[in-house]
Amino acid sequence: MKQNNTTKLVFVLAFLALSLYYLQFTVRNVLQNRHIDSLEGQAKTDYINTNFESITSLRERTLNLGLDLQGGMHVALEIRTPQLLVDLANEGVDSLLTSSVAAADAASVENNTDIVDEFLAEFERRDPEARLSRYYRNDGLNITRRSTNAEIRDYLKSQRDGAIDRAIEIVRTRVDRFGVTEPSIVKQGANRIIVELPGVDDESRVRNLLRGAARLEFHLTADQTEMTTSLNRVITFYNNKENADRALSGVAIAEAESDSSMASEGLSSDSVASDTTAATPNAATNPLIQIVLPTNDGVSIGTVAGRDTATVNRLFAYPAVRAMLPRDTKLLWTAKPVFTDESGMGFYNLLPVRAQAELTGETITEARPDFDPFTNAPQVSMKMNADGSRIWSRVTGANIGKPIAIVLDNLVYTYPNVISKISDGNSSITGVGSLTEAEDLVNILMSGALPAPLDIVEERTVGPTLGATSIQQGFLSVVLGLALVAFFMFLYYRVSGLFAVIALLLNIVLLLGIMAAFRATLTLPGIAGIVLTIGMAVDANVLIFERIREELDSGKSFRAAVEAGFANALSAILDSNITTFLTGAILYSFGVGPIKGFAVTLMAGIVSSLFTALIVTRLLFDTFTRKKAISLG
Amino acid sequence: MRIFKKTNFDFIAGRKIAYIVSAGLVLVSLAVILLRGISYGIDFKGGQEFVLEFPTAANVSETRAILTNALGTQPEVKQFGLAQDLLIRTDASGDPEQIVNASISALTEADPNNVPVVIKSDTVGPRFAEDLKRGALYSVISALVVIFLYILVRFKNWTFSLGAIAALAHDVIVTLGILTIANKLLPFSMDIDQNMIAAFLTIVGYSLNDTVVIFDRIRENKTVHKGSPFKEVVNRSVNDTLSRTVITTGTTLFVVIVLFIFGGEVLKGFAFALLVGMILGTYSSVWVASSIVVDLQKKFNISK
Repeated sequence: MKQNNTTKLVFVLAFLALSLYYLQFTVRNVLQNRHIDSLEGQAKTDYINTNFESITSLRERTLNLGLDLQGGMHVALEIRTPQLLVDLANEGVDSLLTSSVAAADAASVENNTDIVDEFLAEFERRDPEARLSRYYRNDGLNITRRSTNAEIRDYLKSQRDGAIDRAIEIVRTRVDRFGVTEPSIVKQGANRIIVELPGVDDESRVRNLLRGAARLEFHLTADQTEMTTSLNRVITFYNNKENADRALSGVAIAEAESDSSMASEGLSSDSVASDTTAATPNAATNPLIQIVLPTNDGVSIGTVAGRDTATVNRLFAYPAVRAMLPRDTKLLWTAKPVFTDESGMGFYNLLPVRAQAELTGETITEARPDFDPFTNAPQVSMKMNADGSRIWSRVTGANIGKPIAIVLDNLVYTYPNVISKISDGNSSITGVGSLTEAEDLVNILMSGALPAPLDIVEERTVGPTLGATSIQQGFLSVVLGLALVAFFMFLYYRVSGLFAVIALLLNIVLLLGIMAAFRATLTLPGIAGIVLTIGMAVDANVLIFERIREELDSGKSFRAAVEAGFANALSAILDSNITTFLTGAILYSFGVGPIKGFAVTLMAGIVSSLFTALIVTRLLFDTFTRKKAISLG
Repeated sequence: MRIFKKTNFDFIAGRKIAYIVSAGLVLVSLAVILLRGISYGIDFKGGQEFVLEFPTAANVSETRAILTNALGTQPEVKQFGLAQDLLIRTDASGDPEQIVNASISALTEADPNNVPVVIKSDTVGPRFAEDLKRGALYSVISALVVIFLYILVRFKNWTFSLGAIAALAHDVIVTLGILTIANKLLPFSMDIDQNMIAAFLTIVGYSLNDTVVIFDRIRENKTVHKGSPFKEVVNRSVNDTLSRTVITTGTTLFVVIVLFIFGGEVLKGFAFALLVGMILGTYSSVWVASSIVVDLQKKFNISK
């Protein structure tokens, strides 16, 4: 018995020492940060520079705080696999392929399945004879005309996996260049990337930085006359209210594409607004006339308020309308509002361009932020390689006096008229808002093009003040909860209750120690988990004490009652804790972010409260009741 | 100090009352849920919400009117803790960033002396919300399955599993019903989001904890009091553990109330759900779960 207790004591002390060891980093880090904050100007910089290593090593070993506590930005990005599937096809993209991809996209969301599998199923359902190899032939990768559909499916999957890995690398490069302390970038599932950026306060910059695919393209604008004719037909079509209603109600595909960068492929259409009167529009009901303001730059279809761009996309994506537009054109929005009304709503131009890009960003060898020599406006200056320069020289030479749209990620930054032939391979993106934005664009361009666009599917931002408030409130709750429970336990069980309180305090130290040792993240729901643990941790003690009381009632001696109490309560304690632990584990495996934090503290709390109740309380009982009985209240 | 010295309530004889009360609660809750519909938060519905902090207190209905005008659709506006913090939830379509900017500029125009800043913002795409919802559903279902199996293995009798699961289902449904009603009456959000799923699973874990302790005692008493009818064994077990059940519920409720009052706005709905669920869970563990076991064993003539 005595031997046994010595072992227990050694165990308890060892765990306690270990917990304190892991926790001291956090305490030192807090103190150090406080010290740094108290310093001013030069002294601060000097201190940080001289102690850089120790600061970093402390920070790395401190208890992690979730974004909801320290403030920051959480973004879930999804790679646009449907577009990847179309882009990978190198020849003869037809409606069979695009419609299969669109249907597969919808089905994969519906059934929670891999879009590539759905794609194959949809494709074969549409035409059992058709072979995917006719689109995806790639001799370099051993995909020949004879490759089976199953082989192509595996090829597409590996391409998709490669694409997401590449995307992660590119996002990492961009975030590193942006300069965030301790960013976290991880893959989730087959097609998502979770980016956590503590302390970020400029959300819109980060947003653009993350989702920019960096597909730079130079497009000629669509033929003016042809466009006007088509557009008039479209307007006439929408004079009929029924047509408009139908276009606006359905077309799920168009909606899915319209989230961030509105114009997508296949959305071919024409230049619209220049001569709207010819079609005698019914302005009262025609949705296009209602929301598209005419422009007179000779190129744009019209100007549309930011909130209406999605509607316009839908109107032009309607199959019947698509068919009215010239085949080889697509409609793109300007990246920046052309003007902003007094309520802050931005207005964007809709621009018809030739679907085929004359030149792409792959030829760009150098990009740097710069200022326009005449207007002093910020811009990005770029240099092309020899191939690019040759094509650029030909294109500009052949289109003097005509506009060329410079398109980044399907958004038109600028569409200047070509003044003269450019033969030195220089070009620039103007129409950039600020020097910072020019720097970010350079970052995006130089960290490489994403294999497919990334869409932001979830974004959560917490400001630093709210985070600090949450920490205070959480801390207060923990302290108050602890005080209340301790007071009650002492009141109800007296000396034994005091044992339980000691066990409880130790429990919290161990719980935090476990979390620090495993570098788990403490979130606001996690703090709630700690508070709950305080309430539930005494349960094991309550079970034991109640059992001892019963044993005493049945006439046992104090020692025997304690012995029997611990022994008989054990199975109930184990069963009830294991079931709660299992729910915690399930929560952990399905939950995300802050909820995972809750599950972690719940599970860690169960482990530490089992340990403290069964070992620590027992040890206290054995030590203090060897000679005399103690009060159970 | 002792609240219960040695109780001998006849819970099992009075189980009809428990059945009537519980069946009534469940039916009313289901009716409320079906009629009102579950109010999902943006986690499961998709959409955008953000918290604006004003320098001085802002008027909820005025803000709502200004934003309805600016966004073209009526947003949900609620106070977020302090009088100068407002939670705005909108399903306006368009770029999230533009919606926030348009809101702030409209409010700035309305009162240039009270310009808000964004202190929290969440945007969840519809597809992502779909995935989160699926994840939540899976977690609840797998929790129930795992619990059923664990109890089956530990107590070697399916009636215990069924009794526990029925009590859990009861707790979850009635809590959901109460939240649905209270959501309209109380000034903080109780929409079903990820935090709420965590709350529900905690309720499940907690309620189960109580139930298992009682079942464990039944198992023990069956061997101690071999001759007694099963009904009496169950009743004795519920009474034996009653004191512990009440004390543990008490300490847990203390901390949940602390969380509710001091834990901040983000945790308000979560703590409220826990509060309701734990009270229900205690009641159902004591009175519903064991009663069901008694009736099931009687009905299927399980002698052991």
